[in-house]
Amino acid sequence: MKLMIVDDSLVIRNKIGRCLLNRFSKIYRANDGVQAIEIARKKNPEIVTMDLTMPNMGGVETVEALLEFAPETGILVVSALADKATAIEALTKGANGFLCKPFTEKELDNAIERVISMRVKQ
Amino acid sequence: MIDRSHIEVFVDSLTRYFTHLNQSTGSHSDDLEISAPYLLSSKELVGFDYTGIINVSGRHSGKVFITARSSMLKRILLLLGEQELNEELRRDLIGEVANTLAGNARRHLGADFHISTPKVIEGVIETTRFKLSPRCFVLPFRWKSNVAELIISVES
Repeated sequence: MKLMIVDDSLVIRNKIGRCLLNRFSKIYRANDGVQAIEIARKKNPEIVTMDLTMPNMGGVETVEALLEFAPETGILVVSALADKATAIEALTKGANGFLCKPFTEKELDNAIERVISMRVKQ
Repeated sequence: MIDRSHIEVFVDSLTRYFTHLNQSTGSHSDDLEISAPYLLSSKELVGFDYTGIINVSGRHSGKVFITARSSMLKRILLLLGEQELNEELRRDLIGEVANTLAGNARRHLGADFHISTPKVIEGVIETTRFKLSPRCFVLPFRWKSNVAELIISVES
């Protein structure tokens, strides 16, 4: 299974990559929504972690664009925006889970597990 | 104008950040000491080695700054599993911490507390470069003996 990490922070991309290294056969990294769409079209990752506040193309817009051509993608939003309205918006746009930054390795692993399970059931 | 409740929102964000960092690494949660906030004078120079700045808009407007020494950022990077500890990572980390602290404030301040992507500045900052609010609060803190400051210049 392939993962794409979308986040404008190198530190966060590295942290997520290290935490999930053993779960995925291939991990791609994108630092904004534009790059994420390019990679998704070429590499077809099954699971995506998605930041929301990014330059060029924000996370919610990227989720919508990505699901247009890859509707089966499992998406976990990983964001510092900790209000309920943002989480609800992300989920109604098609994301499968929401994890608030900062997060522990265990919290990330559990959240990814739930997204993978939901995708398998679909 | 921001009041005590706004300061408490950022104290909560700060505590949450370092509690998670400590939980991730098995460290002690009492390593964070937050001192009493004070008002920033308009002529002061502020800032340690790196400062992350978030612009705030919506129902509130202004800026949130976090400024820290390189030694603190290196320590956090090590705990996060980084090995290089180079300037690119230090700049990235201070921006991400600023983003996380401001973003987490929405837990209390709501989705109308819009935040920008972070801007990063190195070295001392002349506060006259920025249009700061008349009541700009500095929240000094210490984590594992490293001093840093969270500066809240926000009006509602």
